[in-house]
Amino acid sequence: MSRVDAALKASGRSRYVADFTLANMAYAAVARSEMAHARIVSIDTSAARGCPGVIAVFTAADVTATPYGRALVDTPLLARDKVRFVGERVAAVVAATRHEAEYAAAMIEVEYEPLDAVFTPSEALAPGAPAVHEQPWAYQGAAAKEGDPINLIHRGTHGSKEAVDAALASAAFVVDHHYTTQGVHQGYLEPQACIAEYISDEEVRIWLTTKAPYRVREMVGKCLDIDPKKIELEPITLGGDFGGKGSPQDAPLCTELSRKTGRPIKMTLRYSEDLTAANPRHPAEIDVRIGADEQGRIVAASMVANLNAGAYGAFTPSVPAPHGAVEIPSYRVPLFYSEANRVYTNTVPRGNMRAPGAPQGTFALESAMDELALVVGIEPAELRRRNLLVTGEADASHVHWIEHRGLETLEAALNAVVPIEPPEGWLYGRGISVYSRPTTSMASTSLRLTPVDDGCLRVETPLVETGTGSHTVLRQMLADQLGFAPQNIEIVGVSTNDLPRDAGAGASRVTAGFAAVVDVAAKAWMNRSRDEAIVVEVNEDSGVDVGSYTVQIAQVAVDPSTGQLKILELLNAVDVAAIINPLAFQMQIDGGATMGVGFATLENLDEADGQVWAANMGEYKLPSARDVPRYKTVKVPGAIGLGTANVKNIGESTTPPVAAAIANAVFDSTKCRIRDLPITAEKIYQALKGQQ
Amino acid sequence: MLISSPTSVEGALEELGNENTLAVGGGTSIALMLKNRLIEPDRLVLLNKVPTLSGIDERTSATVRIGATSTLLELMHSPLVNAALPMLSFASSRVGNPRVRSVATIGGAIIHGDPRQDLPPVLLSLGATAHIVGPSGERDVPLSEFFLGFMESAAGEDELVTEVTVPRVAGQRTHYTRFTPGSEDDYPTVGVAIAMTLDSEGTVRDARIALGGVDSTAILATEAAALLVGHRPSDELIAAAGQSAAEGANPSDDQRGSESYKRAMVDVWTRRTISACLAG
Amino acid sequence: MNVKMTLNGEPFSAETPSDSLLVDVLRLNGFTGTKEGCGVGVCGACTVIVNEVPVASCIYLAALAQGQDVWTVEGLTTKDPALLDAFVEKEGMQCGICTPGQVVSAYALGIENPKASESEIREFMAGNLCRCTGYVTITESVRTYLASK
Ligand SMILES: Cc1cc2nc3c(=O)[nH]c(=O)nc-3n(C[C@H](O)[C@H](O)[C@H](O)COP(=O)(O)OP(=O)(O)OC[C@H]3O[C@@H](n4cnc5c(N)ncnc54)[C@H](O)[C@@H]3O)c2cc1C
Ligand code: FES
Ligand code: FES
Repeated sequence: MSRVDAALKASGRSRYVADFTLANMAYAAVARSEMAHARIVSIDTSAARGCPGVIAVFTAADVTATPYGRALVDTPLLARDKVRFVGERVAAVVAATRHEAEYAAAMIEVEYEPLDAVFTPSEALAPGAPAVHEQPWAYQGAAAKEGDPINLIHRGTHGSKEAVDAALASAAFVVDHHYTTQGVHQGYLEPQACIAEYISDEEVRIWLTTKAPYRVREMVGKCLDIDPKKIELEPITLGGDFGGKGSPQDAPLCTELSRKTGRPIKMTLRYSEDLTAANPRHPAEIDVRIGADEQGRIVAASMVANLNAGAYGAFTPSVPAPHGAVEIPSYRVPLFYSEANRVYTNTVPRGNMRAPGAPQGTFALESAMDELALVVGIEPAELRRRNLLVTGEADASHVHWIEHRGLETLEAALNAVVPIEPPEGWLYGRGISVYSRPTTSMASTSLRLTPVDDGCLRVETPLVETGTGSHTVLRQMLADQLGFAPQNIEIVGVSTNDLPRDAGAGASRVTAGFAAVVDVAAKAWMNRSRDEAIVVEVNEDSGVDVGSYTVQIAQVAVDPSTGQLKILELLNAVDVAAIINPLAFQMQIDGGATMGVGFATLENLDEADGQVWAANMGEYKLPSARDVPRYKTVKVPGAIGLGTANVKNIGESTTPPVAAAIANAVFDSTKCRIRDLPITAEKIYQALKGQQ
Repeated sequence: MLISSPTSVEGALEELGNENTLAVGGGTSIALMLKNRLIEPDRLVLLNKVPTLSGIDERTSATVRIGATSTLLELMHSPLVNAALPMLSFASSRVGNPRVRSVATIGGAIIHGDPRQDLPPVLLSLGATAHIVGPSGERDVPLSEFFLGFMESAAGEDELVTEVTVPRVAGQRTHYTRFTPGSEDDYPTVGVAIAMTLDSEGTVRDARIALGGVDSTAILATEAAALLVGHRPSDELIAAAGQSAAEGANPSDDQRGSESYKRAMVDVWTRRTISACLAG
Repeated sequence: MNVKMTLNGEPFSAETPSDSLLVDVLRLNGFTGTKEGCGVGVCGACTVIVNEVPVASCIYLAALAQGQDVWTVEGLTTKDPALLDAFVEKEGMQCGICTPGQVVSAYALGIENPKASESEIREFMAGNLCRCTGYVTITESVRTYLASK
């Protein structure tokens, strides 16, 4: 079965936001802060105003003072009084062409008075630290209260620290380690772009690189005091998302500029701007403590994470604890304490990225599990075997899944692994890592089904195809349940005005959401009166908790003289229900693992001093076709899924476990434990040298 | 900004005589610098229409002449370069990606002056010479005197490199190592290029060791090479050469490694590259 | 500056600032199949063919294309349908933003080394980044295309 959009995409005929041009359109570009933290003394826009093609220049004084945000509303359209990170929007130019706008933006001169800055959560939480925001509690949606540490956005805890401390004090074995992870970018190859056309308060149209159009229209409407229902987000094709395209990004600003200039405004980021001013993954500092009895059975565990949320908290994941960075979803943990602190710093604001929190947390937890196996004196796989949840048990956060298939998945992985010879003179090692993730049971989306001539069906969906093949999956599910041939169903993306709702792609919810809405659609289709279009919607929680396990085994080789690491193979054993589109499913496994490999070994925004040094793709390296290891996939079929289609999540399953699998394999080969990502040749080399 | 497309070297030199003017080979570096507003020239002189700047041939039986606008793709596929200077074909095939190689020229590659580039150390170790033509005449500058510093070369703003000549040495053994411990699709953390000749006993008659990525330009490790000459290198001697090369390097910290790591890697890869040459 | 070239086999000319890059000339004149990702010659999304070799149009001066033979994804997939068929059949894509560049590079490999082995394919295609797929289906697509030649 081929993808609905394959030929369009491969021939260059799919239209992405950057490909659209409207009549009378003007272009915006922004001047960005070169300071991490500074008071704005003055902004001189006179040179910019005199540049060719310039229509208007704006600073904070010229645009709405209302900030925007998701849960926490703290982000200004343009920096007001002070700048809080290198890359922050300070002023905007509207000009006849993109180049003229960019040229003029570079002519804007800003005088700053530098302020002390904080770059890591530890610095930001230290007593007397400079305040990134003077009154963070005053923002709408703020969780912090006056009197909290000044840069704390949110502290989420779960369980009793005292109880866990006491249990650890008397445990037969305890590990207690500190792990750190770097800032990485989603790496979608389509930079963020927006076109906004403000016609009146009754009519606003936006083309935005977003996967969450209904949410964006709420946020834009609130910020600009326009009824969200009057804002239409147009259907678009998205060039990759991975969590990074859920914020409105520059849509509030572009809409405001359109309102002020009376022209449609287009703004496309240069990739360097995307790397330095969008919403990359949170760097994390994580402390893991695990205690076990004589047999290696966990008696108590604690995970405490400080997450660097950057200069604005608007798109840092807003769910209360347990946050993905401090979850123990796979093991039996009688006593569990978790704490996640999201902290303001003078760095790029953070957002969601594939399985938010989990890549950081799983690196820490699964590394610590291996460290525990070592002190208990049993094999890493055996330690996991003794602690994996079985069906009927609740996890550390008291969640009950309908079944647990971690043990089967573990055994399948172990049975499938075939040792690979390392190159001559290289050390060989093998590492294991386990991850499990719930399938979101909340379904919220809508569809319109219209019978058309010759027994064909036209199906409209507001769900943005982020590239995962979701529209193809939808077509297949409808074909199966409505009795159409897939080629007789046409899937059409429509705007937010055309259908009532969609929660947005992400959080592994798409396939499950479709499963629910297709079930409703199938019933409505049977009962419809002839040849009428029907609209169906779901907005409900199925109440069924299913989840899926991934067990990874990495085989690596290390050159002891240089520390160079080669991943010989990465095996993914995944616990699956029905698979609608096998190729798309496989690409989620491979693509997810590749992103994990980048996080584990390569990618790094390199921003220790508040400046993103890896500010272009020559420096911010994504894994290339040569860099990816050989993948082996083992599917463990037979799981219970959701809906008649019987499906489970996959998109966020294979990214989180990679870093620990590799760190554990590196330890196996070298006896060096790397607790700081990424795992570079130099770190391994230095650790090996330290051993001598 | 003006664009000129001369069809002769004289025409090109005349254009280069204008203020704030730059020559363009493949333009891969120029385009990036223009984009980032690192340069704002008033005029660009395109060299791609000057026929005498292209072509690769045997100047004499002992020299290969490479026209300045020869692309790296041409260096990869030229039968002459493959036969006479296999290290140069190999190194060209490792630069960037296919799109860079099909456009970037050897002239641009030596004048651009980023110390992490691959061709400068390779051409240094091969003993290549740049032929420079300018308003005040012509001269030959050995590459050992060509790289003056970061993005700085012996060719003046109003001068052209017309060709690079490379000696063709019978029985020469060469090896280039490009150490990329992160992504393979990246500049090397450390590059080591070695050319040496041995006599029938295995005694080193002549050796040149050049390093990339460890100073403000590509450099020759002259002392390390001198250690080898006149000897049949033992493991100890090879180790001493590696250490000498490492001591002569002057790397700086960046994303690809710290100063001390790069220095250590010069040691390791100089040793390994010498051994690879000796093994044939 | 007026650039004239042969574009996808047809005469083409456009008025453009002299420091324009080829990617902008193409995209502003409706050839939006050529994408701009990184803008620094690294990702390959902007790949086009100039005189039978692949070029990163994001770092290729439009002035250099003067009088040359330029092909974009739109023209190549029309001229050589096997190219499109291979990527459709093997699903060499997810979001599709890198796909036009992958397709054009596959065509370039077909010229440079039509008998490329799996590792040669990976090496040549390494300059075309993809964040979505993990590369397996893209490599398959390229192999399928080369086999059709
Ligand atoms: C994505 C990317 C990846 C890269 N990766 C690598 C890599 O892995 N290894 C590596 O070694 N390099 C790499 N490079 C750099 C590449 O080698 C240089 O950009 C290229 O060699 C420059 O050649 P050019 O002909 O395009 O130079 P141009 O951009 O045309 O010119 C560069 C400089 O040389 C001058 N110039 C050019 N020709 C002449 C001449 N004949 N006479 C006088 N002056 C002249 C120009 O005025 C300019 O100052 C990479 C570049 C890119 C864009
Ligand atoms: S956009 Fe040209 S190579 Fe990335
Ligand atoms: S398909 Fe999305 S980047 Fe390749």
